[in-house]
Amino acid sequence: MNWTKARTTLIIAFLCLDIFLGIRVWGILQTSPGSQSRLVEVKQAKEQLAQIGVQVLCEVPLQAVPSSLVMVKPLFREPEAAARALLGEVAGASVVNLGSATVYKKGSITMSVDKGSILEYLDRSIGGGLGDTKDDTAVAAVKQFMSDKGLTVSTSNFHVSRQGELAIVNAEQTVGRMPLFGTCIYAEVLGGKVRRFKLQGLDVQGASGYRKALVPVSEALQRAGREIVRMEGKGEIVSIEQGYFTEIYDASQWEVVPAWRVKASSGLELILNGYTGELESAK
Amino acid sequence: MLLLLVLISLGLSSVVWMGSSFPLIRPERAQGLSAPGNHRETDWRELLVPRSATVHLSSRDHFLLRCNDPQLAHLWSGGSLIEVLSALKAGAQQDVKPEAVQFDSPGVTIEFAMPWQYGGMEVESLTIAGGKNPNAILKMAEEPGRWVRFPLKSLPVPVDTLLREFDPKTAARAVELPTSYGQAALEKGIFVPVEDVEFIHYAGDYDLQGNEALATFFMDSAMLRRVMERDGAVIFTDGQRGLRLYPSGEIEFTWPQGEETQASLDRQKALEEAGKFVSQHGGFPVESRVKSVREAGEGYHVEIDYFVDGYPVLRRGGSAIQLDVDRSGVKRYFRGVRKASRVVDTLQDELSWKDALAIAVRSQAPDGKAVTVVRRIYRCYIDEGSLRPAWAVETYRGIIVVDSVSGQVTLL
Repeated sequence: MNWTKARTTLIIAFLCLDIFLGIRVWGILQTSPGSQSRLVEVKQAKEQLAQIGVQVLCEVPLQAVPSSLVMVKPLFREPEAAARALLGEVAGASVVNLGSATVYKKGSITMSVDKGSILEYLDRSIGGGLGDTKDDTAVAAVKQFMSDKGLTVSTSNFHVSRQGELAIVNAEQTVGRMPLFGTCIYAEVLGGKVRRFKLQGLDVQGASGYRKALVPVSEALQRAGREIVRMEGKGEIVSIEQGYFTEIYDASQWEVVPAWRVKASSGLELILNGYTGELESAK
Repeated sequence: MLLLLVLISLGLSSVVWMGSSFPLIRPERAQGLSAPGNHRETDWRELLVPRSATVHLSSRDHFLLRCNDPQLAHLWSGGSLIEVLSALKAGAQQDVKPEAVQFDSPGVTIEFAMPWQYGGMEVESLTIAGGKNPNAILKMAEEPGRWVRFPLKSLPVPVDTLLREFDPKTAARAVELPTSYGQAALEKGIFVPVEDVEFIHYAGDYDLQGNEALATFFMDSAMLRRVMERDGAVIFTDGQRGLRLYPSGEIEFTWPQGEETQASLDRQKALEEAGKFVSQHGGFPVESRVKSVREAGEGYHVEIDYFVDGYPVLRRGGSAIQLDVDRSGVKRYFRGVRKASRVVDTLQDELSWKDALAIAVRSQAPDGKAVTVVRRIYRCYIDEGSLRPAWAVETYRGIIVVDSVSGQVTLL
């Protein structure tokens, strides 16, 4: 066998294949929502929004990740299971039912659970004078608290703010790497201990159905812009991100939908259905 | 060099594969309401045809016409009777004591499914009687029953025609009930059939369910997400509109935001909107009647009953078809229409009206109080998983339904 000749033949063959594939990739990038065309669409969307009084001040993601629906269920099926998780032992606790919510009081701790997904916890024994808590320590305390209570909710975007010696930690639940809009984690940390904790979270079961493409970000921007004009006359868009959106139902399980979240400088937060572009929520 | 080319080809191949594996779906804005599937086009005016009538040939000869009797439709068609009602001159009427109301002249009594609006009053039934002094007697839908008489110049043509052409063999002979039964008072003018009729116990599913219901409301179900409720109901929603499929098979569509806001909405427009919506989403059962259109919030609540073999179908939770309509369109649509698709049994040995009334009087009204006044007694079907023959004993505080076979009581 002539190895030199064989190698040359293979190099020529792969070169041809790579040229062919390169042309295909270039074609895909041009015809389907490629970065270049998406860039043009986003630019046009920004210009159109500027004409109606909405400025886009943030970076706009060009890629919308095709996504399926995601099945979720409440964190706790029964209120008592939530009480056991947060109080350890339910015996000795006083119980009050308030509609869909149940409130438990035991010693210095008051907690409530609503629809199996909204938990609130307050430990009055943790008071002031415990000293400042560093940001990292506050986040670590919240993570440890959740771990200790068996609240296995994946989270990201921890944000710490301060109110005197109180460190306030905010975060959002995630599905994969994407935020689950409509959920929240709120905690007040004093001296490295969690005094108040609120969780609006869900038990994520997994994908439901096939992945589908989302409405392009340019369209989401335009929809959001029109809503901002309708609600506030004019405004500034300060962020747009892809995620999932849920409402908290008193149900056994439900599907959450891919969504775009658009924030305005006024504090207005719009959630658009990722598949249809329709407004799901405005607050 | 070769290795580099191989790696490049692998990378490009994966990009080509990834790029083609997610076809871009550009959904239409709102899915809109899909074209109607299997439905019966119905003019909403047809829904106002009376639910039944009693033909009086003499003081002893009375005959019942059920809502599916062509003679009743014929009597109502053409609008002549509506004209009679409209032509009644306010001020010419005189109140009549119930005991003075007699059904001994040839004439007809029409029972409205929905009280007829006349001069700010609600008319429950209209009797047009001939004889020497033709007159119209209106029974108002108020407690206690109030009767008002208007003089007529002559017997209206449709009534005259009915009386001349009426064949007693085609209708069920009826008898007027006395005005008291045990402790309970019976209102004047209650007629019940005296002969046993073949009464069929039907089985069947609800007529609009599952995927068929889904397709009626949403063009693309791929855009929907599900909410599984604790009671087994499943809600499909696109974030704007929701369709709840009850485990029992009924459906409920909601659209809180609505479509578009119209300038104004009145009772008739609400009824038209409701009629159009039902026509497009499931259609009307063959025999349907509007039971009520009442103001609710900023719109109207419309209830539509349906009939099987001319008998009304009653059910817990109100009418089988219910809609909430406001200026932005239909906000809520409930439907639980059971098809009479299989014969379970044919009944001939059923409870008599006396048995049913005795059971009802021994029972209690739906508000828990004793039955003191009975407004109407009629044969009906009760939807309890199947369509069971029953007697309905109507009071001013609800309906007591007595199963024609078991005597079991259902309070509505």
